[in-house]
Amino acid sequence: MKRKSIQKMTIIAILSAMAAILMLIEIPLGFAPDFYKLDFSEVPVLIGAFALGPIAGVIIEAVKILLNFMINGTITFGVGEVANFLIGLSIVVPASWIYTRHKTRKFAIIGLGIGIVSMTVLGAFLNAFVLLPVYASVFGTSVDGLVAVGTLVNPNITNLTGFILLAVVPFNLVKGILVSVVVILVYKRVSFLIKGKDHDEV
Amino acid sequence: MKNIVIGQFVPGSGFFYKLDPRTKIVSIVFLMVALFLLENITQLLIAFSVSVVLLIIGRLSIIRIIKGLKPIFILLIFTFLFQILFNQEGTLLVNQSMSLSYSSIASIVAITVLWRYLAHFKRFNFLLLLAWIAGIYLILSYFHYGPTFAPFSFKVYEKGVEMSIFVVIRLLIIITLSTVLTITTKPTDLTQGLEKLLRPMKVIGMNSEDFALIISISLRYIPTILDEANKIMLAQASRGADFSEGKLKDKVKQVISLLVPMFIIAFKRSEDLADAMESRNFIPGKPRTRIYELKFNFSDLMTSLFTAACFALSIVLKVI
Repeated sequence: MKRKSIQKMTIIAILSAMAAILMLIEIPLGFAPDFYKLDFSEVPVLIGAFALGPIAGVIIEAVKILLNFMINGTITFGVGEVANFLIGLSIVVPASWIYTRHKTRKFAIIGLGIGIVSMTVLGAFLNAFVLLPVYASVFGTSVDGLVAVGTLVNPNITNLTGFILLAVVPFNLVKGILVSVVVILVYKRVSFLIKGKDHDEV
Repeated sequence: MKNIVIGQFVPGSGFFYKLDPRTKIVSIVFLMVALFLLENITQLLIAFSVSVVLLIIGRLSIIRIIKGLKPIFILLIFTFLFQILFNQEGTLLVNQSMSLSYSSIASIVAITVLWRYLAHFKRFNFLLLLAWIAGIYLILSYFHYGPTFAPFSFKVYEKGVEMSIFVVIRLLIIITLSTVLTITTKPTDLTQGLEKLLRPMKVIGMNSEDFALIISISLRYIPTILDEANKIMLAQASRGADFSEGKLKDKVKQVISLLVPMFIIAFKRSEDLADAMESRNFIPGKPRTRIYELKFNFSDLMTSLFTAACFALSIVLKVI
C-alpha cells in the first residue's frame, strides 16, 4: 500500500512535468485571434486521470499551472491561471470520473465527449465574464477592443457574443477533439505500465 | 526546443537574495494588486521610479531584468500601438490623412521584403522594426503616384498617448516584479515557501508537504524530460518522421509517435524514483525534516512593512 502511494506521487509529478513542457509548445489556430493557442498539455493530465482517478487529474492540472507560472510569470496576478485551471478541470474531471466507473473504450469516448461539451460551455462563460474583462483591464482597453482584434481575423465577429460563438467556442471544440483523439490513441499503448502495478499490489 | 530555460535563478548576493521566499511571494502579490489600484500616470511614474531605486538598492543588474523582458517585447509594442490606434478620447494631436495607391502598395511590399531580409542582423532588430513602422507611415501619407483610393485618416488622441504609456509602464513594473522573484529565488526555495503558505489548505484535505514534494520532483525532471523528448525526436527523424510539416492528420500522428515513447520512459522513471524513495524510507503524509529551515528576520520585517505601506497608500489614493 505504501509502495503504491509513493509511485502514485512520482507518476503525478513526472506527468505534471511533461504537461508543463507541452504547455510551452503552442500552435496558433487560424480562425481565432492570436492569443488563443492550442497546446497538448491536457494529454498527460487526462492520461494520469484515467489511470489514477479524477483526484490525481486535479493535482496534475494544478501542478502544471503552477510550474507554468514559475516558468512564464503572470501578468494577470493569477486570474488567468485560475481560469485556465478551471477550464482544464472541466474536461478532465467528467471524462475521468466516467471512465473510472466503466473502464471500456466506449465509455472513455463518451466521457471525453461529455468533457469536451463541459469545457466548451465553461470556456465560453469564463471567457465572457472573467478572462476577457481581466485581460482588457490589464491592457488598458475595453472588452470591445479585444473583440476588435477578433474582427481582424474573422470579419463576421462584431460583438462579444459573436466573438464567443465564432472564436472561443470553435477553439475549445477543436482543442478538445484533438486532445481527446490523441488521448484515445495513446492511452492503451502506455497504460499497461501503470495498471500492471495495480494487480501486483492487490 | 533546447532554448527553453526552466527557472531563471541567477546566483548572487544582495538584499533580495536574503529574503525569506514567503515574504517575497506575499509581498509581490500585494504589490501587484496595489499597482492595479493606481489610476493616473503621475502615481504610476512614482511607482516606477521607486521600483528602479529598489533594484539599485538590491544591487540587481538592470540589464539582466531588461533581458528578462525580451519575450514580452512584442506584447509591449502591440499594446502600445493598440492603445494609440483605438483610443479616441481627449484632444486630437495628430491628424494625418492617408490613402492607398498602386505605388504605395508596391513600396510597402518592397520595404517589408527588405525588412525581413535584414532581420537576420539580430543586433538591430528593434531599430529595424521601428524603421519599418516609420516607413509605412511615410508611404501611406505622402508616397502617391497615380490614382489613390480607400482614403482614411490616421488620428492620435491625447488620451491614447497617455493610456499607452500608462499601460506599458504598468506591464513593465509587473514583469519586473515577477522577474525579481524568479531571478533571486531558487525554485526549491520557492516551492518550500509555497508549501508553508499552503499549509492552511489542510482544512480541505490537501497535504501541502506532499504537494510541494510533487512540485519539486516535477521541477527536477523538466530538463531531463526535455532532453529525452529531443532524443526521441531525433530518433524518429532518423526514421523519416518530419515534425515541421504535414497536414493536421500527419501532425497528430507525429505527436503520437513522440508521446508514446515519452510516456513509457516517464512511467519507467517514476517507478525507479519510487524505488529510490521507498528504500530511503519515505512515507507519504509523514512530516519531513530539513537541513535549512526558513527564517523570518529583520529584512523580512522591513519588506513586509514596506509592502503594507504601499498597499495602504494605494487604497487611500483610490478612495480619494
